[in-house]
Amino acid sequence: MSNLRLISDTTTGTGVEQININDVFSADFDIYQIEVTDFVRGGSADAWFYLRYINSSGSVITSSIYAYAFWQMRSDGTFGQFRSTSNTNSQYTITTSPEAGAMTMYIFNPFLSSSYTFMANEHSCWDDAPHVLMNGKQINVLPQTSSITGFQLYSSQAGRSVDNARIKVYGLGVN
Amino acid sequence: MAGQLVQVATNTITSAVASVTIYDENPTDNRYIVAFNNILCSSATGIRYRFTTGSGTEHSGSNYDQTSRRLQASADTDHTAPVNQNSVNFTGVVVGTTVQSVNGIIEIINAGLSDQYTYATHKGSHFYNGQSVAGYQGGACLKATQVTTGIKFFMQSGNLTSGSFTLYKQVGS
Repeated sequence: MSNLRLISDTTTGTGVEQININDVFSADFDIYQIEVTDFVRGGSADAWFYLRYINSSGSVITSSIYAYAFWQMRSDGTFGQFRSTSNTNSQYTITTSPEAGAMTMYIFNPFLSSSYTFMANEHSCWDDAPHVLMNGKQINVLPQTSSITGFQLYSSQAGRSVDNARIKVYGLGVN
Repeated sequence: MAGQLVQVATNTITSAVASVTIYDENPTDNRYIVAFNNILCSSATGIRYRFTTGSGTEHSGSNYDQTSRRLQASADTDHTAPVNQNSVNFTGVVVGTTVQSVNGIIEIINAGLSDQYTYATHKGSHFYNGQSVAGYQGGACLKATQVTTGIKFFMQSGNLTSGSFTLYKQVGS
């Protein structure tokens, strides 16, 4: 039996601006792998989707406490960083594109009340203008010790959306 | 992670130790995943790793090269590329106190090929010197041929005081 245990498998509808993945983090696992595929844009413009966490009360955490760092690598030779120590979300998590971007993200200790929640992700997708390949590496921390049970990906721009994205959440089991 | 990911070893630290070694007693595969979380330590230095062969014998020669991008929320990103090292520092300076733990994933590639170098990619997320979130994303190479069976973690100085390291192998892919 694989120690990589599938916890949830979600496919969004079309024109979705906000994806809530609830009740996936628990005391059963400390490390989670999230695979995001088929991240095809809805409408005619790409959109960055940002990450926020959901607490055990089902509330999305929106206070200015997220710290993140993002390193962007574009095929037109443009490399750059984005970072913050006090943001209301973890920005630049993945962007939509006609070519369906994808991402692998690890989340550490979300349910542990003795640790902050940490994340590391790598994504590969396409930028809008200019239309170039864009790879990204990102980390973040939610500096709270309350138990986190889910996460939200949401469009940074109203009216821009994703069609039929697939989000799989796995736990890394320890025997 | 296509195929099955099968746990081969795990170590949860319950009291301060100088190092943690986890290895596969039946090394039949080429790709391994090391997952670690909630690692705390006794001093503000870096956490390093070395590959092992046989029953956990570390390779400590100056044969490790590394290139990594260091991400940090409170300071500009930079890169590191040390060569001919006797181990791989994949964290920079960590504090690892209470809630500011060290976490990450290392993929080991070519492990079972005795006539090839062993490669690894690593990605981490932790606090840098108590300031804010930081992490290395990059890779390393052991420029020596061996059947790599696992990995040893240790502090540059001081001890590892808590946390878990788990070694998985990928089979059936």
